[in-house]
Amino acid sequence: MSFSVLQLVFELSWRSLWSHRIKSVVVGIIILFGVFLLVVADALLESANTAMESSITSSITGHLQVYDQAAEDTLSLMGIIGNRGAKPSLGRIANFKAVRDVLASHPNVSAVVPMGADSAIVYQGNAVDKTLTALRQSIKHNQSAEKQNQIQKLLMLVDKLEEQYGLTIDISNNQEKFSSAIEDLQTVKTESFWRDFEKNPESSLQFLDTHIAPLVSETNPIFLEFLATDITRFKAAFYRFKLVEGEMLPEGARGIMINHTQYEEYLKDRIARMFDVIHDALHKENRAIKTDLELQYYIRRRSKEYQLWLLSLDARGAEKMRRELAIFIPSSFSSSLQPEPHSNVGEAEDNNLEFYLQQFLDLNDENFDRHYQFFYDRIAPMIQLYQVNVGDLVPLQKLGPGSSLKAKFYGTFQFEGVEDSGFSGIYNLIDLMSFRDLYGFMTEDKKREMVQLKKEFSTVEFDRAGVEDALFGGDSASSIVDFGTDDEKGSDSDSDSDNDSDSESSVLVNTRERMQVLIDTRYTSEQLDQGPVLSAALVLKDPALLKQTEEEINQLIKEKSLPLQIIDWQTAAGFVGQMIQVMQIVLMTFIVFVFCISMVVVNNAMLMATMQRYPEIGTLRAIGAGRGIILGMFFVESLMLTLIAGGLGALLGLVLVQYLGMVGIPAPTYEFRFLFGGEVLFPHIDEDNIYLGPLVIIAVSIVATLYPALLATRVPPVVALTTQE
Amino acid sequence: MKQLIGLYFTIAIRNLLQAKKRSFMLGSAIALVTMLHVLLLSISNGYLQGLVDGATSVAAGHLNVTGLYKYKSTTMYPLLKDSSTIRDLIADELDDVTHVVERNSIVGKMIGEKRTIFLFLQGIDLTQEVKLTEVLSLAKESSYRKGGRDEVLGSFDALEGEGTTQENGILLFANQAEQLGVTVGDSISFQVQTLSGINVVELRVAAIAEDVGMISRFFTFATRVTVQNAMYLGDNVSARILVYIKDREKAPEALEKLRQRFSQEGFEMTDYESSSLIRRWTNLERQDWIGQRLDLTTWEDNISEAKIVVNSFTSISYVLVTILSVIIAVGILNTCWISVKDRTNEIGCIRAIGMTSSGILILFMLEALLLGLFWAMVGAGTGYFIVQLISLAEIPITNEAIRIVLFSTKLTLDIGLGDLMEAVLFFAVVTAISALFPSIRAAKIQPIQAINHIA
Repeated sequence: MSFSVLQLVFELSWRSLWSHRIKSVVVGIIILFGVFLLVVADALLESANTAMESSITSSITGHLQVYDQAAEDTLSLMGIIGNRGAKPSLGRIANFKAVRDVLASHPNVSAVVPMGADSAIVYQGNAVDKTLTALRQSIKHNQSAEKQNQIQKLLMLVDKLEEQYGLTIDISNNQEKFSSAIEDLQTVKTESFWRDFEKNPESSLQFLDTHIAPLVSETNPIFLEFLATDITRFKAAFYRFKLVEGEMLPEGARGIMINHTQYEEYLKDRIARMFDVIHDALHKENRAIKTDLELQYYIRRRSKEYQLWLLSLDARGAEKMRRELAIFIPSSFSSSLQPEPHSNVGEAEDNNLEFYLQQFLDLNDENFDRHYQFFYDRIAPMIQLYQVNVGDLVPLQKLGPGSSLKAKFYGTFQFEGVEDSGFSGIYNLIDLMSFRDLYGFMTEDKKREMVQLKKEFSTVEFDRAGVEDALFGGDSASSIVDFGTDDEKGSDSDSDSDNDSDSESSVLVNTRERMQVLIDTRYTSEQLDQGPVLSAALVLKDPALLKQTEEEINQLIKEKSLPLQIIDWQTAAGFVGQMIQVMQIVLMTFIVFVFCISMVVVNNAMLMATMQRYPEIGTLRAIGAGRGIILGMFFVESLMLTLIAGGLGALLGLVLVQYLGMVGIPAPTYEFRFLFGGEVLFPHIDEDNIYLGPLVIIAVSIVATLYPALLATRVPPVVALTTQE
Repeated sequence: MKQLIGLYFTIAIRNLLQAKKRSFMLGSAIALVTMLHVLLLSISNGYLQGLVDGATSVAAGHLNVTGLYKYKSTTMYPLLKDSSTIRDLIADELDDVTHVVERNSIVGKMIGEKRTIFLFLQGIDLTQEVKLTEVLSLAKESSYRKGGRDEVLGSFDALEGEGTTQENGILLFANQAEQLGVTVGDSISFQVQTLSGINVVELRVAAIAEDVGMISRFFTFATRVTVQNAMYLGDNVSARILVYIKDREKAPEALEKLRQRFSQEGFEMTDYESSSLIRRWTNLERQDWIGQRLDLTTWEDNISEAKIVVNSFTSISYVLVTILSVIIAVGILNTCWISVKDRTNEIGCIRAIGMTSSGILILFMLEALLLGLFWAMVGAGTGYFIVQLISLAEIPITNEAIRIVLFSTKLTLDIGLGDLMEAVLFFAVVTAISALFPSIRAAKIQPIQAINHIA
């Protein structure tokens, strides 16, 4: 077509669009809306995908994972939730060194990090044991005030135990066992017992050790998910890793590091946590207790949980806290609020303390900041703020059959830039050697020390008193916590020989000197590499080449006959990875539906409009316009319309996404944090998003409008001239 | 009057039939959207159905009275003393109770050949459990074991053991049996935390039942005696009383009545919250009380967390359907507008022979309404048909993520007549309302203008 003809067509098209304004606007709006929706939804999904990918690959899985070819289950690094409360059967990578050498040789691999995942339970320790230890110390060092203090504390514990067993015997079928327990407890409360104590403390202490201490059952255990790895190498490969409190695990050392999010959310005193959460809500999120039902509810529930404080304080501590609170909280008591008289002075104090605590925890917008300050200044130092403290030796026990051990808690960590909730908040870190012990692998350490133990203790009775005497004499460290009662020894139903070796190693790793040796030991890379691991993470230099690299490494594995299989990060992320795919499908379906309906409507509108213009078309044909020009005119008309509308829609979409990208979309529920890779999603637009989607829509729009245009060309001139409508 | 209405209908239908092509296109759009709406609704209904079924038979009843026992201030067990007193009170206070079931409950580690998994063991009394034995059916060995026999092994009765021997039988679900690597007759260890230390019980697999949705991942059954012994409990101690009433929608009222009665009789209770006990467990455990307290929930409270999924899903589908409805409304608006313009002469004629302007309005609206009604019915019918097909096919869900979100192992769709009628009515009305403006415009046309109008 010559230029002048084109020009004509354009002018005609433009004029048509203008003269049929209403139709143009209607169709235009529908197209605009469609494009807008597509651009925004696509950008959001893409951003969520990228956020999740970054969150997962830079905190746990790396880009690819390799593990035992013969594994029964698919590797899923989503912790126990992802495995439905069961431990997956993953086989093992027996020789990590060989694997590392081969895989590291690939040009796109920047690091190969050994891994294993498992859960452990932390039991809290026996309060009576701790008190008895302190009591022994005070006697040894002739500290009579301290001695009295500890005796008071012990009596309080005995009271609580008596109450507890009273309630237990009420529902139990083993009256004998519990009656004798109650008898023992009542014995301790008699004056004659304490007279005997003054005369011969040691034998009374023995009684307390063997009859009272075992009556304390486990307090609420803590469940921790662990990712076992070479922590030094992990830090180097996962660049977001950042130390928060305490210190880094020394290279080659045994120990654990705890995820800072978990430390704050689950291991911190629950009322302290409440204060933190409310503080953030008021000052960072600009909420107010008065208007926020959720906050009120939260305060109401959490503020009842001060039991632990009462239990952990001795008489002196309780009195101190009571006095501090009495000064802090303005006195506005009427006489009717006087505490009831109690036979036991200690209880009356408690009662008063409880009253003050309830007042103190009755938080509102006006008093919150004052109370928050007071809490951290005066109360926090008196209570156990965290269930484990940096530097502690934490006793870890396995889920399922396996051993137990103690590990030093060096510090807490976070993954920077990736919000520390959601995926990157699942795991704590443990060193490979401890993991192997925990998991039940036989290590060189264990073999050596078992041999030594056999030499030293040819005959030994594995009950608490006997071993403590044998190893420490009268000065037992309270670090022996989980020898277990007779019940517990029978708990792991492995064969007898395994059981023996397990209890041997329990003895082994729980003795103080040996513990120190293990803490001080530093393993070389070779030693770490030589043992078994469950999987290895591959961190790539260029993540964009992921698919290609995956295939190439698969080839490599086959060539070198390594018994491995390889999966990508999305598979390794378990059902969360699948969730992304689901969302993509859902979104696409959504878009397709909107699309189809839109096209039907657009088509319909265009059809009707075209039919209306038969006279016009006929006239044009009559004065000489060929079919081509008519078609061209309609074509250009639709093109202009869709381009303008589509362009506008894309522009609006872009603006909205940019805005959201600055402001951020907060995760509506906890579950969304996984998808958002954190608490807030900051969407962004990739170049692809902006061009691909709208182009598709425009193409389809044109097709939809073309059919009516074709119809139009079929109209013979004479029809137009004779149409009366 | 009747004749007039008949006239309107006749004219409207004739007009619709005349403009076939136009009404077909728009009509199919209306049908498509209605069908989509029906499908989405059926997914959330199916989900809810599966959830409710599981919640009201396997896990709990219409009303649940759980005994919470704190023998020390930081540890809580589901234990109920005085259950007979409570049962009497329930029988006395509520008059539409169909039956009552008492259970024990404990959570522990099931240690099998292949794996160790956490499970909630429910102690049941087979003679009481009417609903449960209805809902559960036993599975063929081949469904949970590779190369297993194609027959059902074990039986419910085997739970209680032969004769007088106490055999500690357990009922597992197929997925659990597969995970643990056991079959009927095998032994399995169950480790629990009791009030006096850890206990490990040897259990014998007496029967394996077919899975009933996600809830069969976490629950398993044995006799009450087995559970009581495992926990060293006296035989008068249970954990929970499940109450079934005639109309489960009346559960909240019944709950209120019970709460008042229990309070009168001196029983201590937890503060009522409409959420499942599991959600509130830690908080209750840390609260400052010891001894026995009662916790009451309705079946709706128990599934309130899972309902969040339904609610999100419903919101998303409403958004989708709204967007689509708007688009269609625009289309209809446009079409009607043009149609009015085209039929100006016609309108003029009818007005001239006596039809009132409100009559014109009614006529056009009726046309749109009938169009919408017809095509919405087509869409709803197709949707219903698809739902039936999918339900029959019993399509399994393989994607783990969807399984967890939908809390089911099969794709379950469910739609009732009421929902269908609502959908049809909704879209018919949308169609009619979209035609409002053009109809008003049509009504305003003066007869003389119309006759003289040359398009």
